[in-house]
Amino acid sequence: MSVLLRAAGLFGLGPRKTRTEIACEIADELAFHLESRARELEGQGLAPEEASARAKELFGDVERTARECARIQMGGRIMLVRIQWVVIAVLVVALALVGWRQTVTRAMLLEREHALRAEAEHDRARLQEMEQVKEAVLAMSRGERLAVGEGYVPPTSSDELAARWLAELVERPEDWRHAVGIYEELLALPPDEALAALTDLWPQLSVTQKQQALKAFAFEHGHARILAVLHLGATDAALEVQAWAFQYLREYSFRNFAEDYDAYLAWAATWGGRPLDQVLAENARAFLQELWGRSPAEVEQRLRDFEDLDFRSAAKLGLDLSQVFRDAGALAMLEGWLRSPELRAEDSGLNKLAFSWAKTLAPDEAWLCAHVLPFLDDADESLAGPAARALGDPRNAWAVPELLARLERTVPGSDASNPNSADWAAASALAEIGDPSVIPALIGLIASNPGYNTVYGIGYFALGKLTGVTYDESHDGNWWIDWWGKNQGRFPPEVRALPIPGF
Amino acid sequence: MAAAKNELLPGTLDLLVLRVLATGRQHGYGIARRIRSASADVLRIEEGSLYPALHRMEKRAWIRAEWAESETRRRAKYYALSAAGRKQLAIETETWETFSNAVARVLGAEG
Repeated sequence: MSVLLRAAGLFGLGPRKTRTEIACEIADELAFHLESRARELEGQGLAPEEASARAKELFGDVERTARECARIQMGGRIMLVRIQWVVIAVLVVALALVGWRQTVTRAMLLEREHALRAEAEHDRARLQEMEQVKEAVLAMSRGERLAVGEGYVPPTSSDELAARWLAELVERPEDWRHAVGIYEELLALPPDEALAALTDLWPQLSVTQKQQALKAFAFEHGHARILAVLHLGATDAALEVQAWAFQYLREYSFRNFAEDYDAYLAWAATWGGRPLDQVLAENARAFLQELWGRSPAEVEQRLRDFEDLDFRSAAKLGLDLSQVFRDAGALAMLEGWLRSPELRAEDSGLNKLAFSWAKTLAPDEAWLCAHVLPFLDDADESLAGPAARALGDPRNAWAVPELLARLERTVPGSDASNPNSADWAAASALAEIGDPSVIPALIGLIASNPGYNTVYGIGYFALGKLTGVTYDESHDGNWWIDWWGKNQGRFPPEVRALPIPGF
Repeated sequence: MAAAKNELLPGTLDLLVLRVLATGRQHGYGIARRIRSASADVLRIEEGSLYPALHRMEKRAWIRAEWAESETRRRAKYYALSAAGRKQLAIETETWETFSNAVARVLGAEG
């Protein structure tokens, strides 16, 4: 009990008293002392006032004693209060730390939970994809064909890209420009992967998107899987898509399968898996072979779709298809067409066909001089014009004097207000040859006979292409003479020194 | 000389208070009177200094305090010795005896 009381006294755990109560008790205690002492002194004979004063004197400083007692009584209390405040402060800090740590820990746990959920979701999606691929492989092994919409994701193409392409194409079925952008990305893939991706996208594409897909691959010229891509189009249910496929197939087959679908199927079965350069060369030879023995009228009929031969795919593959044509006797055939009366027949397309081929087949100078140059001064513009155009090739620099001579003979004395297609074709051929030394002569021709035929025909088709100046109808002879004066410095010295001739 | 006679040696006040209370509970005035009378009026303390000592010993739990009616029927604060105070009294008594014996021996040896 004594230990408990002592501990209680030490820690102030006894009955709690206020500061005022303590002060009152001390004052009461000291007053009792003074009263008792004064009574004692009174008993010794002092008067009451004197006894009271003497008692105070013997006591000493009452106020100081009272303060000292109060300080002692309150000391433990003050210390306890200080300890309590320290304990409270420590508890508050501890609670704050615990709370902060719990908050941080909770945040970390939530973040981790989200990460785990995301991982689990990704794994689940991946597993699903793998299941779909497995099903697709099994289906393919059974000879079935699955579309993207059925969940087949080709293992050879980028899953993510394919998913994005599909989503965007399905969302914007008529936006062909957007589709072209996607096909550009698709064509950046290796040929087999590009074909696989397009094959899987194909069932989901609109007619417009399919047409643009065919165009994108065709315009790659020589894409290793172009025939497979065009096969998608040729066998598509939509006739508009088939038409685009047949158009692009002409470059490789030299045939228009729109006229014979069964022929296409047979052709595809024969050539579908063959190297593209081999397809081009052998089909070119077969094409010429088929033309032999046909009359010019029949040829003109047969070749309406082949007036302009396109050898760009062959060139991309390193195949000189013009050489293949020449080796197969195309120039001899061409000579026959150029000698044929059919060439001059009204409404015949043989003239355009013959000179177009003459340009594409790139015969040498001797052949052109012998078989094309004579037509340059032909009175029939429909022959002189195509003949001049056939010479428009950088390899034919030798033809520059001939073309200029043609213009010098026809332009000065002509009706400049009357357009002459042969003059324009000659001007165009000069621009294609690209020799800047003709510029002063062409300016002289415009100045000699300003009019629509020269200002536009020579200005636009020749000078505009050679100089980069945008055509304007105000660009007459004087304008060009002024231009020449200010721009001679752009040209080599031998050109700069050339005078503008007068005609 | 009287001033010198009244002075207490440092630390002796606690011993005197505890010794007075060992005979029974007493209020502050009673303690002061007993010290004065027991010492034949030799030991006179400044009475005001008694109370801080009482309150200090109360906080140390050497003595217990309680309010009670005095012989004059006035309410007074009485102090009583606790067990801890009794132990402290023994310690201080021994210390004092050791000290006074040492002083006596010194005085005897010199006399």
